[in-house]
Amino acid sequence: MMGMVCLMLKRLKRLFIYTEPEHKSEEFRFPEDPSESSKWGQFAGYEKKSRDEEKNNTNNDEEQAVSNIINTIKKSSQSFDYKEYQANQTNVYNKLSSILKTSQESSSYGENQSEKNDKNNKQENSDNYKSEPEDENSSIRILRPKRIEELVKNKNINKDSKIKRADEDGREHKNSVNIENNKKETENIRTIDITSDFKICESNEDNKDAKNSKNNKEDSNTGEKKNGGDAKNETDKNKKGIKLKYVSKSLDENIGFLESFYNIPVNKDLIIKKFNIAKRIPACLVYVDGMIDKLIVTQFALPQLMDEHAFRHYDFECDCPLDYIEKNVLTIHQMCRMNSYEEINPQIVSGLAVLFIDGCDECLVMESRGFERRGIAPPATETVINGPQEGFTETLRTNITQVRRIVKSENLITEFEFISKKNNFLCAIMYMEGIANPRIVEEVKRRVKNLDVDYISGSGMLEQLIEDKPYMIFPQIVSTERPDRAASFLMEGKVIIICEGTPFALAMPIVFFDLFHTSEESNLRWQYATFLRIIRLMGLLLATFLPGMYTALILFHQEMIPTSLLSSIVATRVNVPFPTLVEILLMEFSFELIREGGIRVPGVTGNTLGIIGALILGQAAVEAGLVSPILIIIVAVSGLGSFSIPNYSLSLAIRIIRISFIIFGQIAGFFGISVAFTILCAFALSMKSFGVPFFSPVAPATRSNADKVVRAPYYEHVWRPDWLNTQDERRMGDKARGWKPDIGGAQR
Amino acid sequence: MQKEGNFGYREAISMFVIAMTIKFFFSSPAAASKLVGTALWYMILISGLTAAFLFMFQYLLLKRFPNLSIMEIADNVLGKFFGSVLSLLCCVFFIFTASIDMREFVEVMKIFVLPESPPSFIMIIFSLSVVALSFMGLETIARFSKFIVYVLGAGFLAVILLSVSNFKIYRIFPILGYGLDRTIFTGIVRSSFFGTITVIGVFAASLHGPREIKRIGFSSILISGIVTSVSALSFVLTFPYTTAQELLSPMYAMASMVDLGGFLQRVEPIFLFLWNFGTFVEVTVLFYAAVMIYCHVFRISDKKPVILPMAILMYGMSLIPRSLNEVVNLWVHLLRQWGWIPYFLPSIFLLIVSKFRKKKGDINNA
Repeated sequence: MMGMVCLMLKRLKRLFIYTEPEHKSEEFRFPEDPSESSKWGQFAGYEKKSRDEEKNNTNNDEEQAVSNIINTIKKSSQSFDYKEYQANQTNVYNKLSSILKTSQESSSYGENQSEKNDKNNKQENSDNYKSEPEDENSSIRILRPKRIEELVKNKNINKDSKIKRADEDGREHKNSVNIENNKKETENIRTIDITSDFKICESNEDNKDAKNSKNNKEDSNTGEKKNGGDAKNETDKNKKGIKLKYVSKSLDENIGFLESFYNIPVNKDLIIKKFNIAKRIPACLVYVDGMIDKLIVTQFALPQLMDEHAFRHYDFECDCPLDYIEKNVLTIHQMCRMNSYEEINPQIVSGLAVLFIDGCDECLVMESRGFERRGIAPPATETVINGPQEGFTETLRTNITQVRRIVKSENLITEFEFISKKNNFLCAIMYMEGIANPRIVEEVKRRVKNLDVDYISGSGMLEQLIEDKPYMIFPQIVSTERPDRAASFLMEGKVIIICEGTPFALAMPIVFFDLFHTSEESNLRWQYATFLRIIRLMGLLLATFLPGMYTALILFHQEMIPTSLLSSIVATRVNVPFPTLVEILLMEFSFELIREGGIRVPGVTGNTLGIIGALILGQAAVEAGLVSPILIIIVAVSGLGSFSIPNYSLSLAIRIIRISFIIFGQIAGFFGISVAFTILCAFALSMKSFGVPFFSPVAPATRSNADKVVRAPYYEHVWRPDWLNTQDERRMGDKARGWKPDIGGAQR
Repeated sequence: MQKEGNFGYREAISMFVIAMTIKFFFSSPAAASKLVGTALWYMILISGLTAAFLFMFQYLLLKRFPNLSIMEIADNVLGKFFGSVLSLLCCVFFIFTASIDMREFVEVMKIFVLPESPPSFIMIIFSLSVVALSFMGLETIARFSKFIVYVLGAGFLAVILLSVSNFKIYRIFPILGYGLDRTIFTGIVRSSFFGTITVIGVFAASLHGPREIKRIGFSSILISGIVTSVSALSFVLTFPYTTAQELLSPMYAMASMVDLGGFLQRVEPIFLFLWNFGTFVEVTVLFYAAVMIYCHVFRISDKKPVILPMAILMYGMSLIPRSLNEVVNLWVHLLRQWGWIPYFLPSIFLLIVSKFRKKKGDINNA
């Protein structure tokens, strides 16, 4: 009874009288640093769990067992006796080793690094605890207590490492808590608990890291984790320049290679953003500044990669998280894995972001291009009245999309190829599978792949490199600025090449009539289209032959000119001091000069210069008696004729040919022109574009639709060009117009 | 076998039709008119029929040795030495014919178009086009023929149709000319007018087998016979036969007489181009055949180095005749009168020898 009274009094006394706690280490205090929040749980009455344990409840049994053991040791530590403590440690050792073996292996983010760290720790601790069984497994180290002197010694270093490496690794947050614990341990050895010991071991690792970070400040600033002396060696190696052909498993080696390959830090364009995936796995994102869309990197790549929550289902025991990241983490629409630097480097300089991860021998190439670009505008060189008003732009992807918008077919194949060695110029080879002749496709690819050129800046250069006969005056590849025309070429069975940075698509193989036709004719009724073509043919013939014919007539065949016209011509030429050849070449040169000047002078001024220049110059030349008025008409008409030629390259060719006809007309009249024409035909007719004769289907004669000069109604264009030997020869059925005419309608 | 590239029957027909008909635009009609008078137009048909008959032997020979050229057949049948001799004789004949045709053209050009230019200057320019076409090969020559056949056809039709106003039906009489027997005999003898078709034997390897050779050969003779006969008829209808015998180029003269209402007159420029392009093709075909034979005999695989020396040789041979008179009355007359021997006889001879010696080509090649 008295005993009960005494007990009650004691409890009453506790209620009213303050007594100091037995262990200062368990004294309640607000955490000074957010990273100490893990300690808060202890005082709030929760079971202390590591961050990983909180997130991954899959190994609850193991964790429970660990916490039980920790509690046991805590209790034993309250009445601390070093021998007793050592005995307890030995008892729990076997249990712990079996439980924590696997988890500890994966807890470190780099197998090699952890092993190296373990070895370092072992070496340090071996002097003090040689009696303990040595095992390579790092989990054994958890139970190793530290001597007070050592803990004190580590404390100051850990403080430095904490400052330098704050907010980088989750485990480092725990270290800062442990530093506080270590303070307590210096005062009272009994306050050591197993958790703090575990942390101390890690802080030792970090201690080493801190030393390394002193050696390599750049790496420590970006949170790069180095492993002892190896890191220093690797850094030195990087500076010397590592040559890698394939992606290394070591992130440091990859970074070293990239730095030497891209001349970093001399080259300021390339960014190597180092970070930790899920705050654990070192990685880096490599891209060229200005070439990427920063939004993609800052909103869709880095946040997801750094977020631990995104990796809650990831098993960190896996060697390489690339697969997981590709499938579960990144929301970027287009990614692919590569391992060869030959493939990776062109992607980087093309504006793609590349993710390298420590421990992975592959990298992830992410579509992130986002440089400044021009919007879609009407084509400047192929304007039409009736038809689409969209032209290609300088952006390859946009151009391909424009074609795909017209050819919505699964058979449209787009292959990419880098065509220059130094500037990694990308082009897309497009063709219709099942229509295009495979031999033509192979030939185009063969030519493109076998280029050995440092620099290509556009389709014009590429055209010169892959054409059959560079010394022929006629173009052998047609370039178009119009997506609808490119699409029609594809559907005919031709191959299209679109180059980045050029608003033109190259189509091949071609014949003369591809240079002569325009896309507008397809959108017009056949009568109008035929009329336009006849006008254009007249323009072509006038542009080619008229000045030469005039020269021949004036010099050799005066009897063929009607008398009245002849007298008029003679009267106007009386005051002209030059021979006909000089006169006509002078005017041709002036005309070309005005045209060239008009093109080079920008905007409206150029057009004005062209018109005013021609008028004033022509008028002044006539008044000065330098040329005859009839010659002004001849040159103007031939100039207009050359303007009617739809293809710029063909127009230029005709302008050059015209001069040769003038010279031959001067030499031998119509006979000379005949000879010049024969020589021209000899060259042109022997010309082939990717194996296709240039004047097909006329010479050689092959099957064709009525679509050369006279254009038949569209539904009669049944066949694809025979000279292409397409896989699918027909482009429409026997009855393209399935409906019967004269049936139905308002009046039956 | 030397690879020359293949060409289709349309190209081949165009080439041979141009090569055969173009001769009619020079002095031949006048010369023939002297022999048969108003019966010229059907005499040409008789010549065509004779040429077709003689060509049949060449076809049979080429059928017997499928996909072989006439030079290879000669080597096969006669042996390398005699075969080469026969081939070289053909080569000399072709190059000589080409040079005479070129000279005839140059003389006519000098009279009508370029009176102040020396013949050598015109011949050099002419040779330029022949060399250019030959450099590009047989395929290009055939394509060029196909390319311009439309132009020539249109020009020819234009000249004929525009001359209709000058036609006088009574000029066709006496319809039998100087007598039917004379007409038939002259027609048979002058079958050399269509003798150019035998060049098909030289180009046989570039054509698609004996069936196509048959088609090309007979079609070409038929088409050129019709075209030439129509030209001859229009020529007979336009000019009295006594006048026609004096004209150097009756077709050119016919074109220059065109005068429709005062606004369409003097269309000879059209004819001039027709003249030029046709002659380029004819001379080039013969010239290239000679080059091919020469290269075959001496086993020269690349013809390009041979072309320029051979062109110089042709140029030199064309300078042999001293005047237009010598060209027309001696050489052209000789070629038309006796040309059938070098054109057709070698094939007949080879066919007979091959029958006797029982030589045959590989039928599987056909």
